[in-house]
Amino acid sequence: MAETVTVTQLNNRIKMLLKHGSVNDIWVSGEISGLKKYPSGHYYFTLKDDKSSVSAVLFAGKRANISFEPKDGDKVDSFGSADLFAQTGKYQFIVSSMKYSGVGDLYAKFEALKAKLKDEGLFDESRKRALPKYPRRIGVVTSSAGAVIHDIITTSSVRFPADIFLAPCLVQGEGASKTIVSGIRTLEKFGVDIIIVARGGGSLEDLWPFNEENVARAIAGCSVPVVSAVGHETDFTISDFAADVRAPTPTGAAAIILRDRSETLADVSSLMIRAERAAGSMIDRFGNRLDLCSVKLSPDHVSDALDMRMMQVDDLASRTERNLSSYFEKLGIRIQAAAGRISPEHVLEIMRYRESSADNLLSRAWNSVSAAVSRAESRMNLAGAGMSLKRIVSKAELESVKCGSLFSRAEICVKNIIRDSESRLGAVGNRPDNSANSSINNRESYADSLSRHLEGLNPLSILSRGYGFVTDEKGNIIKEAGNMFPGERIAVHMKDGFVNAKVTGWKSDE
Amino acid sequence: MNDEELSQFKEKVESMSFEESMAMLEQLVEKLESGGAELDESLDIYEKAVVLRNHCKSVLEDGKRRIRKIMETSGEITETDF
Repeated sequence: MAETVTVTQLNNRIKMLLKHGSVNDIWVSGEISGLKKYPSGHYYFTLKDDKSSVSAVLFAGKRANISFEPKDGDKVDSFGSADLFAQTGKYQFIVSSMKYSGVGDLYAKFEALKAKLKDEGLFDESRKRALPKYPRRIGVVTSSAGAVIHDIITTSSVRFPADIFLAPCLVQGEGASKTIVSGIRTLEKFGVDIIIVARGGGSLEDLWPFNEENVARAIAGCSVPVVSAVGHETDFTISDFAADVRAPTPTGAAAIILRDRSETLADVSSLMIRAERAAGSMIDRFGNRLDLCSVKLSPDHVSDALDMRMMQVDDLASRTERNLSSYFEKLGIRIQAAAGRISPEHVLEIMRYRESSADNLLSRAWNSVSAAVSRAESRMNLAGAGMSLKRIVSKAELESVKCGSLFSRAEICVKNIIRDSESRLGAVGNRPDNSANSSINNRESYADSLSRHLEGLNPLSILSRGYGFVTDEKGNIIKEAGNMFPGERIAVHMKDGFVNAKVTGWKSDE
Repeated sequence: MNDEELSQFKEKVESMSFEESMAMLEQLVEKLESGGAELDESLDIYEKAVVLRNHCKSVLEDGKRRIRKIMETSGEITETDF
């Protein structure tokens, strides 16, 4: 019958086995990883080689035995014993002393690759791309099993809404790096705005796939920006250097990539508030202008303005009327005056006056000539009459010239008046007054006929028709034959001169 | 904008990314604030801003997102709910 023991009894028995086994006071050679120093001064870490690992602890009391500060990646020879931690059933190697034996293989590899890629320029700042501000499709390369993907989903749920596409990969162990690389490639092909390469915390060994060259190159050569979020904040991997942005943790990656939703909403709102304010002030401005226009366009304002305008129009109209009527009045007076001046009666009167005076002159000339002839007939011997006659003729000529010049002056005057009247009539406004025109025409033709009549009265033209007149010795015109006596010397005046003559006889027509 | 122009603009905005919409909204607001536009244009800009705001807001408030698992086997990509 097999013995039955409790868990505690089992662990205690194993603890006893270890105490008496060949696991005490021995040197263990291995590499330090996952080292944690507690405030108590104890060091907890893992000792490992390329196949196995064991938890180890260096208590604060033994720290003085060690001449260097242990750190991850250190290759060390540790002196101590194995012991069981009864509560958990896990065993630990309790280190009491430690010798530094060189840098660990993994750490050396890490440093070598980092230096190589850095020299290549793979980590250059100039290669880093800006992350899209509002990505809608996020690719995540990580394990589908771990907490990491859930942390990312949870964190992003309150942030800018983006689809999450998970390309599952192995995150530790042999072959993990290949699956990470193909995850990146698949997401690139599938089409995303950004890729997160993530893994939770772990030892250098655990994180190792993210320190491999193929992963680093896939990240650096990715067609979309890559954020690396591997391990804890203190863990640095080659992926972190190759990525565009390093996030301290997977949760941090989601926070870096996606802006807070309410913050973004507030951004939109504040932009809108600005738009409203700007549009509002614009509308206010135009509104004020519109108000001004409305006031100006209000019926009251318009009728006021209209009244004002009407008053102005009335005023202008009455002034125009006054001016026009006074103008027309004046014009009428002038037309009348002009018409009066050129009235046939008036002109005729002038002409008649001239005619009678010319008649007068002629008859006087004839009288003189007759008298002269009679005197010449009666005083045949008298001489010198020629001179007198000449004087008479020249006097007559003078009178005639005077008549002519008077006439032509009258003619010019009449024509001027007519022209003046015509232009005034034209200025009155292109309303040709036919009656006025015809009246003017009548007067004009009348004036012409007077002119011809006057011409007929010119004594010189009478002489040119072969008439002559007779003067006595003194040059007095003799009009009647009875006024002359035989033997009197007379002069007979012709067109081109005169002849002296002597009255030889007398005969009455009666 | 008349109804046709407005619906054309809405259509255009629907196909715009959130980032493009935000950039355009910012640009329009700055233009409005500069006061250089005439009233007609300002009202157009404001109408456009409202369309963009609504678009951005609906994107943000809708909050719907897909969480999918992407697998590639022999060159073929398959997509499943996660």
